Amino acid sequence: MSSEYRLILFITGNPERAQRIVQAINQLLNIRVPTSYELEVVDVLQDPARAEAEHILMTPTLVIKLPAPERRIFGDLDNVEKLYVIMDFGKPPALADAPEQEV
Amino acid sequence: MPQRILVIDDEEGIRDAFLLALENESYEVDTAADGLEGLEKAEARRPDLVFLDLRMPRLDGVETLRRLKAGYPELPVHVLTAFHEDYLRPLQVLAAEGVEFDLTRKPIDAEQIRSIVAAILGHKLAIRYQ
Repeated sequence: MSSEYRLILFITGNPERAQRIVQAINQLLNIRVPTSYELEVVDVLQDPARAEAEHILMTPTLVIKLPAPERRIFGDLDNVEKLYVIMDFGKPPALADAPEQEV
Repeated sequence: MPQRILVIDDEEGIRDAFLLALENESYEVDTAADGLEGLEKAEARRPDLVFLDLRMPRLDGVETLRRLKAGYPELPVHVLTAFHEDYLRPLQVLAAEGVEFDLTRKPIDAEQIRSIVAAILGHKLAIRYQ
């Protein structure tokens, strides 16, 4: 299946936190991406070679493989509003009239 | 009051790398050469962020992490390690016990240290293009 969006989330253990981040990303993509997308979750404790191959610097990190350019987002990943802005989707609808915020 | 970072690593080069990388930033950086010293410093003044090596004399990183999180469950701790199975195996046990932590890859350069610290302590997102 081809996807316009292909993302890999690198986390460390803690399934509850991973679930929160996955939920935030899904929420975002469901709003903004009309076609299919692919989101893979990798626990670095279980698959360190994969993290090394992808040059991951820290966890959690979200790698956006597609659409190009390939990029890595890290930090406060379970904040859907910040994710919305940094993924070039503009301001989230709820913040449309809010002043500029630091991402 | 500046945010406080504690770097616990027996390698002087790593401790110095953090001190140098963050010397012009608005953080207070303290260092410890092993787990016991790290715990003492954390208890004396609670840090906002800890970077923690795994293999250290006196008290290793795994046990230090366990004790740190027992005392301060919300304290963000980043384990400094190569992403290699041999290093990470002991951490799998802690993760299975529900101990929360993150990983930061070694080696790490000054610019990477600054961007990671800014993202974590600023509750921000950082983006890097490959």
